[in-house]
Amino acid sequence: MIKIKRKTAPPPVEQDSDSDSSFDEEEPQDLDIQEGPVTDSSDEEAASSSKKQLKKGEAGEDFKGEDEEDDDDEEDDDDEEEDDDDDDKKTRIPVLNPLSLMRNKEQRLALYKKMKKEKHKKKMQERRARRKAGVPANPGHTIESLREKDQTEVANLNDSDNEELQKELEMDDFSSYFERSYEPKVLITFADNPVTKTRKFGLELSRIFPNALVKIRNKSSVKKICKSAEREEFTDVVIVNEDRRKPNGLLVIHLPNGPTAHFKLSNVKLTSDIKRDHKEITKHRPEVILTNFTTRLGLTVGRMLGALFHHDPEFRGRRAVTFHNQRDYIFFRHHRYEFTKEGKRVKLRELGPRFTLKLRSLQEGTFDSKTGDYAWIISNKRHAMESRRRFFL
Amino acid sequence: MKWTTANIKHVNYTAKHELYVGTHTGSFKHLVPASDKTPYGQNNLSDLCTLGKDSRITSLAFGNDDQTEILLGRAKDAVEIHSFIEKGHSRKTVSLNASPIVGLARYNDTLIAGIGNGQIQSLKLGASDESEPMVITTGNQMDHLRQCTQVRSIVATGGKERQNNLKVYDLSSDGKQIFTSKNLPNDYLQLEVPVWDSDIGFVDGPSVLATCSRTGYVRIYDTRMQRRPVTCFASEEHGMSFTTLVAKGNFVYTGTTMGALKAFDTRRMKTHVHTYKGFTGGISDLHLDTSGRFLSSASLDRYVRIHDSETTVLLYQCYVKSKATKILIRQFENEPGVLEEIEEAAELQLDRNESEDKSVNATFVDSEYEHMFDQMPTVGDSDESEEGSSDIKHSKANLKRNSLGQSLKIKKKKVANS
Repeated sequence: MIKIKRKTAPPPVEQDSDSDSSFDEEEPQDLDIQEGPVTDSSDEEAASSSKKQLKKGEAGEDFKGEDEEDDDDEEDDDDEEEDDDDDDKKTRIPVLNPLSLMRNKEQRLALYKKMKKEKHKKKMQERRARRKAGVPANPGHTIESLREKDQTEVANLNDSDNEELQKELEMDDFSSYFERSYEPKVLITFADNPVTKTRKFGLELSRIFPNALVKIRNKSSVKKICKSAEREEFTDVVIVNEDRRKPNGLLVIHLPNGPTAHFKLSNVKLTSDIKRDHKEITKHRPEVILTNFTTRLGLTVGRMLGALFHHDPEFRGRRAVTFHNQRDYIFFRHHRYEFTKEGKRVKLRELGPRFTLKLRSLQEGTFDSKTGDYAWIISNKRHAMESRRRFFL
Repeated sequence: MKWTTANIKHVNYTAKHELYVGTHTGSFKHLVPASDKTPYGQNNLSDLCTLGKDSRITSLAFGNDDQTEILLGRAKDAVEIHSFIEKGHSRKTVSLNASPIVGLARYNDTLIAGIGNGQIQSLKLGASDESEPMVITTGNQMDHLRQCTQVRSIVATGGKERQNNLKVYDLSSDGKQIFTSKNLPNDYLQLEVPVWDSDIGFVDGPSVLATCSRTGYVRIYDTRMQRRPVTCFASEEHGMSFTTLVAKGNFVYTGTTMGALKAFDTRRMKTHVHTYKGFTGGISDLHLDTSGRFLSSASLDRYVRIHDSETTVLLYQCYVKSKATKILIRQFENEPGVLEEIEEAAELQLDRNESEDKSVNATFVDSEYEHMFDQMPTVGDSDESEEGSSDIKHSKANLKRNSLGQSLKIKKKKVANS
């Protein structure tokens, strides 16, 4: 009885090992012995479904349009249907690890360890063989790799069919910045009566943006602020909103004629929160790194964030500011890099602050939330528009 | 249908239409959703290289009843007249002395242009090029000028502020003002109700007009009855800001800055009757086809869409690469030569990715469909042919097995769910 089961048990192990071999490169082998027998059946399921999904990925992109919630179930069903056609024997039953039936704990543990070791060995062999053959590692699937294809994606700006896009970029509101015709000057202000944390955050923002000025708002309206900032030759206005004594929103207004972006602000860690000293931050102009803004909307947002900084970084200061977009969340980090003595390797030291942005709306023109034209807003349609595999930036 | 960013053409969308789209960058595009091969192909009717910052298209209108002539106004002071009478298309430029052009119309040989500064300029087209346009001043700002399709000499204008309210002019009698609207009475605090007529539409005939406003109202005026609106919808609590309006029969369709497209019934204006879905950006222009069943919309999210106005189904959606500001929909005459030409031109411009994607998609769906049919047990066949009892048994067994499999499947699902 046990022998038969043993024979059935190994295949899932194999599948498991080759399906996510790439992930395990960094991870140590899970040494949790007790867990093994219980997870076995689910592992198998996951592996089979993953295999299936990979197949689908090859077959056609549009297949993803199905209900994602039911995906796994459906795929299982498909599998079974095929099995039914071959013969009835193949209908899959959840497989128990035979070792789990063993009563003697010591022996069980020993056997289990042995099994685990063999599994690992086999995997390593496979990997070695793969590397020798020069086959690239299976990237596996993440939410990113399963992302729904976006029609507006900008893969290569210099493509022939992006002629119109190039033309638009030459003429949009940021074109004068990218032609380097002016130096950005940023006004940072707050909601009324900001608490200390928000003020500190504003102050830290002013250390990041070169040529920035922090002002208390003094109960004036955003439209008035925009007008007077334009008069004082500011090129951008950044307003930090707060709620429950925490900064929670960021409004970025490009002057003189828009656009206006409203971001949700979360996970704000000030320099002091990550145990750094603001004296470490030098006055050099930082490099700006914008990553992963792939769609047309993302391109606009990326340009907008980039236009807050001076176009000529001072590389002497070794400061780098990163806006990394991942699944529509824009992560901000501020680093200083240091070369080792030979100049071969680089170390990164994070300086503060760090925070996360999420786009709420993008509006044409300067701030006019009531009657202004929105280029992108999904405020009240989020359930219809959002999905785990669809991203807008 | 689930919302997606991809270009879509609904299976049931068989009506033949073509679209003319004006964009924020200034490109003027021609799309043929009716074509089978390239429903998303777009060819540019204007030269991309000559576009500048002020070539944004701000108005687009048909010049005649046959819809063979299109008047195109930009943010600069020149009007382009595109005519599609011959197989190709010809273009003529007429210059005015003000900009931006917010509305265009043609009455006999006169070109009528509404200018953003509140003027209506009319120009004889046949006359010498250097003739000065006749100017009517309506106010100091104008958002839109629209022409009545039944009586082509009548135009209506509207703008922001009280002095730029809805006004109707008759151009056959030297531009006489025949109607000016009156605002609603003051509110309970004796404050003036703000006026901003952002768009106007003629509801079947020259005497009934509908206006919408960025301050959030839709009003119906009857010029025969009174100067104040006959019925009115106000969205104080929803805060909708209407940008564009088109009216036909009993229905008024309006789009908002936040990407909501609503239909109102003029007989009962308390609430909207339909909502059309799929927008992620503000709606910049709407246009109905002649039957009134197909509602085309241009949106700032860089898509043009066609909805069924009765069932609200999204029939067609296409990414046009830059912000669409104006749209016209027109019946597509199926001249084979023209269609081929357009398709060829479109194919040249079509995304390679897109076409690949589409072909893959098509084949995939087919194979799946066929596979499904292959799987089906042939019940009827065996009964009719009556080849032998063994055959029937076999099929029965097949059936049983299938049902067994099914029950198993259900069990599995349950397990998975729990």
